[in-house]
Amino acid sequence: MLLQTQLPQWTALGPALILAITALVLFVIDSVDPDSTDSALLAGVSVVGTLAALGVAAWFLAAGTGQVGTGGEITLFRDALVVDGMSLFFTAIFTSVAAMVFVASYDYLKDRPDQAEFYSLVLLATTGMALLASSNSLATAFISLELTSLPSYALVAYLKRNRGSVEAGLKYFLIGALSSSVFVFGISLVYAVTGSLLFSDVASALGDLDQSFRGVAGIGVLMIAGGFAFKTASVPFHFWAPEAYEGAPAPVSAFLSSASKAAGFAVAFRVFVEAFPIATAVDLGIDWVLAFGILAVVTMTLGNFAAATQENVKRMLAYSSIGHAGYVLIGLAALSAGAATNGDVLGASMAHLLVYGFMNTGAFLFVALVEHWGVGRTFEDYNGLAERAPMACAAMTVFMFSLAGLPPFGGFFSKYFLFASAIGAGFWWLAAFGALNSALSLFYYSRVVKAMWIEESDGSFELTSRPIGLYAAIMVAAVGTLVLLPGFGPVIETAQTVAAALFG
Amino acid sequence: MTDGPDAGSNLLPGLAAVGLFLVMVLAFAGASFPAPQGFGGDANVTASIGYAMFDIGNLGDVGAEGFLAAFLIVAIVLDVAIDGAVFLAKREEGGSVVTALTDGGRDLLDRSREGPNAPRSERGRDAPRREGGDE
Amino acid sequence: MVPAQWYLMLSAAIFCIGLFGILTRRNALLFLMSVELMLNAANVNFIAFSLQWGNVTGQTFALFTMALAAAEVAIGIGIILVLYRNFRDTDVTKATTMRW
Repeated sequence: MLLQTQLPQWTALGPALILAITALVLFVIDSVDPDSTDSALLAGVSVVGTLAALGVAAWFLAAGTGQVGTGGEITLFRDALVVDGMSLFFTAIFTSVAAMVFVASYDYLKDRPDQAEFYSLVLLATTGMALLASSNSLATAFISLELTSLPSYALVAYLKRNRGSVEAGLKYFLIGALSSSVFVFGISLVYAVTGSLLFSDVASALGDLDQSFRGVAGIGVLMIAGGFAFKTASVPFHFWAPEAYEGAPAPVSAFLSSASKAAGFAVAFRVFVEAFPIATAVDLGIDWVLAFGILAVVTMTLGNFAAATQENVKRMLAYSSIGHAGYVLIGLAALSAGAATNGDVLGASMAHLLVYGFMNTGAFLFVALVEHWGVGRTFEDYNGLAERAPMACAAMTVFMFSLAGLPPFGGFFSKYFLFASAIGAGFWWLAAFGALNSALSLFYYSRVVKAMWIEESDGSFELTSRPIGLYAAIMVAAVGTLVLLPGFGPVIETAQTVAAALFG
Repeated sequence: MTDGPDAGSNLLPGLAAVGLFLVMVLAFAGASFPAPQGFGGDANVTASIGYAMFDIGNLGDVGAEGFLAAFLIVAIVLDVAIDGAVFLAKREEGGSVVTALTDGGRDLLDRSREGPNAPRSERGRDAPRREGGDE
Repeated sequence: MVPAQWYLMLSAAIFCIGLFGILTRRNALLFLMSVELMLNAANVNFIAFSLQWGNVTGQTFALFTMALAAAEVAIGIGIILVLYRNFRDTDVTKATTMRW
């Protein structure tokens, strides 16, 4: 109410603008002093910029910018971009994750050359994610998707002299390039049958589409879903994830598996709900709800079973992140045309992504800390770690139990609401698969906890330093995971309100 | 490098592409589009693209959607491309940056002998090494 | 005037030729070329259906697709260059530190 009367409309894009400007400031710093290894300056500028964007997004969200109570969504650039509660909610997720990653990178990258590139690429990727969540046209959605993808490719290959990192970067790039060409071909088929790219126009054109075009439209929608499957690391474009997350520097893995996945879901939610409304799509015989239901079950089962067989902790986390993509897909799979429960289901998915943003980032940053110490990567290497670093291991325990969905942690509440809303919407089978998979996941998450606290260490490693940035980031993530316990009421309420607005 | 005479040995996965083509042909064959609407005889298409790209006026004679947002985002994407590509392509030698724009061929050959086969400590400097991986 | 569905056939053919290249070739540079082919298959659709619907949305978006293809290749070549420095080859299957 207050924003819409006092600030010009374009300021609704404030978070994305702040992120882009911060990246440009880093360019300037880099060009003034190209060989700078001043981590404090670079990380400091990045953290300040990201926190400012987070603050603005949280302020807008609290003030109700773009929500139903204050005059509804704000559209900009002739409807190409839209700011509403959902885009602000997702922007808050992206910026929180990015801020934690920056704080952790302060130690992880210390004394390396090319630090400015790292920070500016992460910032630009975050900008892309914020724009992706605000896209209201297939054109801006595709271009913002590329803006998140391109820096990610370079970031995965960031350790240029490390074979694993370069190989991971190549594989990520190849699958990414393939999936983006599939995505754009899908867009071109949708344009072929509807003659427009704006979500609302696509939806109305699909509404009175001749039945003879259903084949073209169907393949187009499938291909667009394939593009999102890549971004969210879901079946069938999931197999890059273990390679990329394992080879990439751990802060980048944290960023990709939390923020990048959330960005993929943000745009997928908007595209499928707004551009291909369920009732219209089902009339045409393009039942994407059922397709996402099958994908959700396959993705969560495959991710969890593969995670259970891993020996390498980072790889286990990568597969577990595929499993979590499966849970979040329930948000698209438990929808039905015109149902009042749609907002609850989608909102629960968004809340899970927020909690996941904290707990998963924390888990990968713990791996970064362990890499920083030079301890190995397998479960055995973690044996007895709790004796040396009890604080960090306690935080890791919180992340693991929260990811598994054990009761006293944030992950329990988000999963509970997700499965409960799926049951409420009549999709009990999705909730059943989700619960079964969560039970399985407890097995491999608890292996990490067991290794850290119960197993005896073989005494072969020395913890030489206590990197303050990494510790701080891990503690922030742990506190975030725990604070979401008492704070979960407002979170789920906000998420379900803004999600319901999408169906309005 | 690759794609020598043995390139034909793995044509089998290509059948998937042929299969996809058949599926697409079947799906597209049913579509019967009406006669194209066209742009109108005296419409200036090039000017319309320009108007559409910058959201000027009512976007020219031919209808279109506004692309100014897309244009601005592409500007940032190209920033990313130059930042990322220069970062990846440049080489550091003894702390100073050597541009990637030199003729790399022979130079690369000489360097590579100490590249991949260099002792572990040399490579491991970049990152925590992976156990039992590359040799 | 060629009926519009023939453009769909043409673009499907180009797209599948690109996909064929990706599935059968192991060289990273050829992979990039194949991806370009697939991106341009989409451009054929955009331009053909721009005329079909009588708006320039498709034509304008095709320009953006080309710019993005260029940006993607810039990053891609950078990664392939780094790969070449590390592995002395652009064969994607030679880079086998990890399981594929």
